[in-house]
Amino acid sequence: MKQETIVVRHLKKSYGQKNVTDDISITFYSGQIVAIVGHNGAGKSTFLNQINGTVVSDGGTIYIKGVDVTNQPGKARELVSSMPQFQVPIKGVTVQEAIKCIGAVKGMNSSVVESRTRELIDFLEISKWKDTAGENLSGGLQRLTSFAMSVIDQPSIVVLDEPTNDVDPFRRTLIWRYLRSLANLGTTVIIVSHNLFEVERYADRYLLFYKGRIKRDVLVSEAKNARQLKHQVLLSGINKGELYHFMNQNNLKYDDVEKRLIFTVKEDCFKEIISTIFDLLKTDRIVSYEIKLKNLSDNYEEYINEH
Amino acid sequence: MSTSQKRLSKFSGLVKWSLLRHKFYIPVFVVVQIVLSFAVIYGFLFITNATNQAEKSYLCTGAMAITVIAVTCVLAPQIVSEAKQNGVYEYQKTLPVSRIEILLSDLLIWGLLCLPGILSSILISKFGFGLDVSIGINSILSVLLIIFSLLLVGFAIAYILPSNVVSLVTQLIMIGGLLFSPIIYAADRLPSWTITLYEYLPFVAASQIIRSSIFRLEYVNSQNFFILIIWACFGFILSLITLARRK
Repeated sequence: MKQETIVVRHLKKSYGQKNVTDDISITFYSGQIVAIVGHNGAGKSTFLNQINGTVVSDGGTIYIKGVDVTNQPGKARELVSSMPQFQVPIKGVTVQEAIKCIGAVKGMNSSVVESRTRELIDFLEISKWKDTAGENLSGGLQRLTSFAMSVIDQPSIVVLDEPTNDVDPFRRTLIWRYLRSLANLGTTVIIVSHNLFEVERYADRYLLFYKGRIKRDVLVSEAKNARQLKHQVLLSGINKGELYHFMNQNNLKYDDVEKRLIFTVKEDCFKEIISTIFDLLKTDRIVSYEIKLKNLSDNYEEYINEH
Repeated sequence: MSTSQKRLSKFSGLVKWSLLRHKFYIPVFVVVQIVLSFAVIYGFLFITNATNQAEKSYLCTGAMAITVIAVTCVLAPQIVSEAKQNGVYEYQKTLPVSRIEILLSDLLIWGLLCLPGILSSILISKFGFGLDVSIGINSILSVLLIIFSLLLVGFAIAYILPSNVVSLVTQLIMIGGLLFSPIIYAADRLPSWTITLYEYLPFVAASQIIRSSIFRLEYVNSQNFFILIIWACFGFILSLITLARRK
């Protein structure tokens, strides 16, 4: 059964006149991967840093596992493991040294640190670089090392700020798989990401941040159900004069510069639309087309712009 | 694992991480301190043409003070400032360790880094100039007080000031220490207003404690200890406030 792990109420933070987080109330549960998405400057990182105690809140409360940590950053650090947005400084330290040291700093037994470091290095497939010093690693490998440092102790709560940045597509999947395995053990995973495809694929829930507020709090499974049979069509190289074929479709958007039309097809007229597209294609009135199920990425702009 | 074992593991992890980060600097610092001890003693011997034992004793004790100042108030703040710029402290702030532990781990490492300079100065003084060296519990405690109070001043400089100002201030300390302070010569050679100024700064107090506790060249003046303790507290509080400050 899922348990409340973090309870945030009316959380606020402002820098000067700008409200970076503005009256945020949200509850996080054990065993859940929660992704935070939103534009740059929406308050995502500040929110994570308020949870881990590195940013002081101007108002509101944060309870972690029943403990009020709002004004107790030391307690917050004990309860929450963090992977910051910036590259963790590991100059002069090898990958495995960095992971082991943080294991020790987190109070782990040395034999457990040893075995967990080995497991993580193998899982992330970075054993080739385990003895390479930080300054000689690529940005992606530094990120993977930083990720391993944040999860070495199998934390019960972990907050990660864009962990897959600079990481290759294969190892990005490994990061998400590892987070899933942690969530299966009961860990609350909160992750800031700009990759909406990954969020939709791997997260259980996502929060859309906009101007310091949570604009949407969505369970991914429910969102997927709601989007079922909503196909999105994209036509390229179409002139404005041809739009009349599709005027009765939903969410019609035409880009005059790129000569691109996007709309959502109603289920009952799907066949008719396909036939129209083929006609346009045969007579060179469109260059190409795409049809796909609508996903989070397609809805993102809609959500941001809705009032 | 008990709470105290866990705490010890955390602290040793912090120390190990700092040591690993500094592993390339350590041999350089050792060599620099030994060279500096020789340079101060023999270089100033040529410049000042010191002939009597009193003048030579100033050079020997001054060399020790200068090497300690060089590590604690010049090298340490510069390296700590660089670490601050690279995000080391920003990252440490996310770890489950107290700010005092962060400070203590740095104090321990930099304290150990001061030892080669002190040892080389003692060896030169004893075998090169025949000065009597007194190593006992009092002299060890005195040296520890000097190292830690000057390190805390150095850390405070590094934590509070922007990096470009840190290098300026540390160079000022070094030049002031080398040329314009009564560390490598007697105080009566300086104008009286500078002597008053140095009474409130920790550098001359440190050199006089070295002269009195290790070389038994002067009487122990408790005011010097008091000045160092005040500066240590001042540096500790400022460093801790800066480390604990949240955005």
